[in-house]
Amino acid sequence: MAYSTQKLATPLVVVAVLLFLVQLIFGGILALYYISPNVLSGTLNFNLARAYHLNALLFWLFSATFAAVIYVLPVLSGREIVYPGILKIVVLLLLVVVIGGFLSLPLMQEGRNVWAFGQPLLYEGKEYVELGRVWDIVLVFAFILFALVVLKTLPPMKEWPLALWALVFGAAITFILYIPGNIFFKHVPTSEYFRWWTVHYWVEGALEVAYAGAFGLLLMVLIPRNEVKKIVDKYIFYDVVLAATSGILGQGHHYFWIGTPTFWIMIGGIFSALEILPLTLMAFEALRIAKKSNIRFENLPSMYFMVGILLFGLVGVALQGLVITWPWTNWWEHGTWVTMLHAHECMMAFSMGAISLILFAVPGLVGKPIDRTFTVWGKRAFYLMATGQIILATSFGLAGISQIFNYWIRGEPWSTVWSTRLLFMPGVVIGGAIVFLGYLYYASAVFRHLLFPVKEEPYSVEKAPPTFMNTLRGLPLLIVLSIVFSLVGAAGIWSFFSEQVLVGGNPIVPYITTAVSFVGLAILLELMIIKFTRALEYQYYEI
Amino acid sequence: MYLKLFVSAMAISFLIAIVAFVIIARRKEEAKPEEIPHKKLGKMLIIISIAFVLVVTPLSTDVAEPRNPQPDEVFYKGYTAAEGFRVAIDYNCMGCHTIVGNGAYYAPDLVYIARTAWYPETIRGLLEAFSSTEYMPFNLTEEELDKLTAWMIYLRDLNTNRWPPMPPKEVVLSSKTFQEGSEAETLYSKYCSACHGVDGAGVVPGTPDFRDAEWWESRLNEVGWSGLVDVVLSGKDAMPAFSDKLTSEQARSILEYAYSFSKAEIAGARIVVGGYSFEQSFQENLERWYESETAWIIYWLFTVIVSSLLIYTFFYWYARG
Repeated sequence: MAYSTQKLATPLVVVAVLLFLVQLIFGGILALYYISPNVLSGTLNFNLARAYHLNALLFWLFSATFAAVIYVLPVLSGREIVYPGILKIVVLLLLVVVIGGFLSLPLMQEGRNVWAFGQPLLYEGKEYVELGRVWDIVLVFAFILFALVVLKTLPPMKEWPLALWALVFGAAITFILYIPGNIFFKHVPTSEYFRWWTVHYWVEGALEVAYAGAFGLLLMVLIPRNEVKKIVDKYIFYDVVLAATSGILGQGHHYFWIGTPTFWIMIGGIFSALEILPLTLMAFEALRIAKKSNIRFENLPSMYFMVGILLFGLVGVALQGLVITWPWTNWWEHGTWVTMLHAHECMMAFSMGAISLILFAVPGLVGKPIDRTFTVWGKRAFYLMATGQIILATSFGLAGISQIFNYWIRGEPWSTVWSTRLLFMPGVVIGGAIVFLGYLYYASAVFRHLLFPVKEEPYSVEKAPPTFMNTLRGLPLLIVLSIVFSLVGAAGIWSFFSEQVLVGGNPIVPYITTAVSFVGLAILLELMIIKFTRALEYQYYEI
Repeated sequence: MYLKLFVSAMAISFLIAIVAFVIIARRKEEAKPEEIPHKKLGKMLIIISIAFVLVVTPLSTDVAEPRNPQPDEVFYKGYTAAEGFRVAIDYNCMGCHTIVGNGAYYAPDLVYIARTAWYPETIRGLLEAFSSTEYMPFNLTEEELDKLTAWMIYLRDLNTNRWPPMPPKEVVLSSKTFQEGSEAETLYSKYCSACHGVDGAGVVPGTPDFRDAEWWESRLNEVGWSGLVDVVLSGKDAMPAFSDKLTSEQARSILEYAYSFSKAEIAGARIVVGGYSFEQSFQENLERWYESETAWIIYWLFTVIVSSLLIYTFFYWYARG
C-alpha cells in the first residue's frame, strides 16, 4: 500500500460488513412476521424490525462509500490525506450515530419520543429516515467534516476529470438532500414530498451519478490509457445529463397519489418512463468499453459485482421501474408488494456497488495478494446473492399482483389478502436464505483477508471454448428482449382496468401476463449476469 | 382528455427527436474522442429541470392555493390532525402500514381504511379495537386515540387524485362530520344553541352567523383560538361568562364544533368514495389555477420540449458520440 492514511478505511469496512449482517437478520425476522405474526409481537414489533432492516442497509452503504473514498482519495490526489485526525473523528461520529440511533429506535414500541422545536429528537416514524434530529445533526456534521477533508486533499478543481466531478457532485447532492427529507412537516403531502427528495435522489444522485463517477474513476485507474479516459469522460457526461434530467423530473412518479397536484401525473409519468435511457445507455456503454479495453482484470470479484450493479440497474431499477411507473399501472400497484419487487432489486444494485468497492479496496488495504480463495469465494458470493435476490424479489412481485385483485378490486378483508400473499412466502424465504449464504462467502472472503495471512497462489483462469453462455454474443438482443418483457408486464397491470376484471371478476389476463413478464425478466437477468461475468473472466468480449 | 395529453406528449417528443436527429445530427461527422458534442444543451437540460422542480414546490406543498385539508383545521374532540400526526410519528405507524401508499406493506393502507370506515366514530372504534392486540401491541391512551382519529379523518379527506382503488361506496356528508356524537355537540346544545341556534345561524339579534366562513377567518386572524376561548369564558356584550360551567379545553372544543358549521354548504350531500377511475380527478381539480386547462397546456409544452431534447441527446450520443 502506497499511502498510510488509506488504513483509516479498515474500521469502516468492518462496520459495513457487520451492518449488512444486521440487515439480513432483520430481513429474516420480517419474513417470520409474514408467516406468523404473533411470535415476536410485543417484544420486537414489526415496525421496529423494519426500521433496523432499512437503517442497517443505509448505514452499511454509507460506511462502504466512505471507506472507498478514503481508499481512493490518496491515489487520485497523489498524496496522503490531509488532516487524518479529522477523518478519525468522522469515523467516530459515524459510529456514534449508528449505535445511538439504533439504541433509541426501540423507544417507538412505547411511543416515548422527545420533541423540541417542533421536531422529534430521538427517532422519527418515517420510512428510510427513521433517525431522530439529534442523530441527523451529528451525521450532517460528520458529512461536512468529511467533505472538508476530501476537498482539501484533492488537487484544484480545474484539474478534475469529469468522472471525479460526477462523484463529488453526486455525493454532495446526496448529502445535501438528506436534510429536507428528515425535517418533520405536520402536513402529510408536504412531509412525503420532501421525504422523496431524500429517498429518490439517493438513487438518482448517488447510484446513477456518483457510482457512475466512481466506476469511471476505477476504470481509469485500472486501465491507465488515454483513450479510456476519454470514453469514460464522455460517457459520464451524457449519463449525468440523462440521469439528472429524467431523474429530477421523473421524481414526479412519487407524487401521483400523495395529495400533490395532478400535473405531476403527466410530468412524472413521462419523465420517469424516460429514466430507462441512462441505464440502458450504461449497459450499452459497458459493452462498448469492454470491447475496446479488452484487458484482464485482476480483482475478478470486484468486477463481478460491478457487472451486478450494471445489470440490476438495468433490469431492477430501469425495467421493473418501467413496469410500474405509468400512471395506469402505478394506480394499481402503488402501496402493494409489486413495489417491493422494484425496491429490492434497486437496493441490490446499490448494495452490489458498495460490495464491489469494498472487495476492490480490501486486498490493497491489508497489503495481501488477491489469491484463489478470495476470488472463488467472491464469485460464489456474487452468484448466490444475485440469484437469491432475484427469486426473493420476483416472489414479492407475484404476491403483489394477487394483492391488487383481492384488496383493491374485491375489497376482501385483510386476512384474505394476507393468506394469498402467504402462498408466495416460500419463494421469499428460499431467496433470502440464498442471499444469506452469499453473504457468508462475502464476509468470509473479507475477514480472511483482514485477519489471516494469505499465502496461496493467484487465481488462474481455466480457458474454455467460447459458447453462447460465456461470451457477450447476443447481449444487445437480450437487452431489447427485456425491454419487451417489461412492457408486457406494464400491459398486464394495466389490464386490471378491463371490464373482464372489474365487472366479470376474472383476473386471468393480468395474472398470466404479469407472471410471464416477472418470471421472464428474472430469467433474462440471470442469463445476462452469467453471460457477462463469464465473458469478463475468459475475456471473450466479442458481441 | 388526460390520456390524449399524455400519449400525444410522448409521441410528439419522440417524433421531434427523430426528425431533429435526421435533419441535424445525421449530417454531422462522428465526434472525435476528445470532443463532447452538445455540452451546453446538456447543462441547460439539468438547470431547466431543477428550476421546474423549485418553481412547482410551493404548489405541491399547499403553500400557494391549498388543494388538501390543512392539518390544523381538522378536529376530533378538540384535537387537531397535526397532533395526531405526531402520535403517528411516535409509534411509527408507517413501519407497518402504508400512508398514501408509502411505507411498509405489513398492514393495510391508512387512507384506504379511513375511507372504508368513513365515519369518525367508526374510525375511532377500529383504533380502539386493534389497540393492545398482537397487531398493534401498544396501549394507546384515550387522548392518543382521539388525536389519531383526527389525523385519520384528515387522511380520509386528502385529495389523492382518487387513489386508492376501492369498491365504490356512497356516503352522506354532514357539516358535523368531524364532531358527531362528541362531548362538544352535547355542550353546544346545552349552553349555546338557545341563542346561537342549533345550526349556528344565530337566533338572538347581534349574534354572528357561524355558517359564515369569512367571519371565522377574520375573527381567527384578529384574536386567534385563544381569544375566542376568552370570549366564551369571560363573556362579551350580551353574552354571559361561562367560566364556572366550562373548562378552557371544553370551550375550545365547542368553538371547533361551531366552526364546523362554516362548512355547512356540503351538508347532506351524497358522494361516491372510491371507484376505479383516477382520470376523473383531472376534471375535479380544474378549479385551481395551477391545475386549470390553461396550466395544462403549459405543462404539456414543457414536457414536449424537454423530453424531445432529452431523447434527441440520447439518439445523438449513441449514434454519433
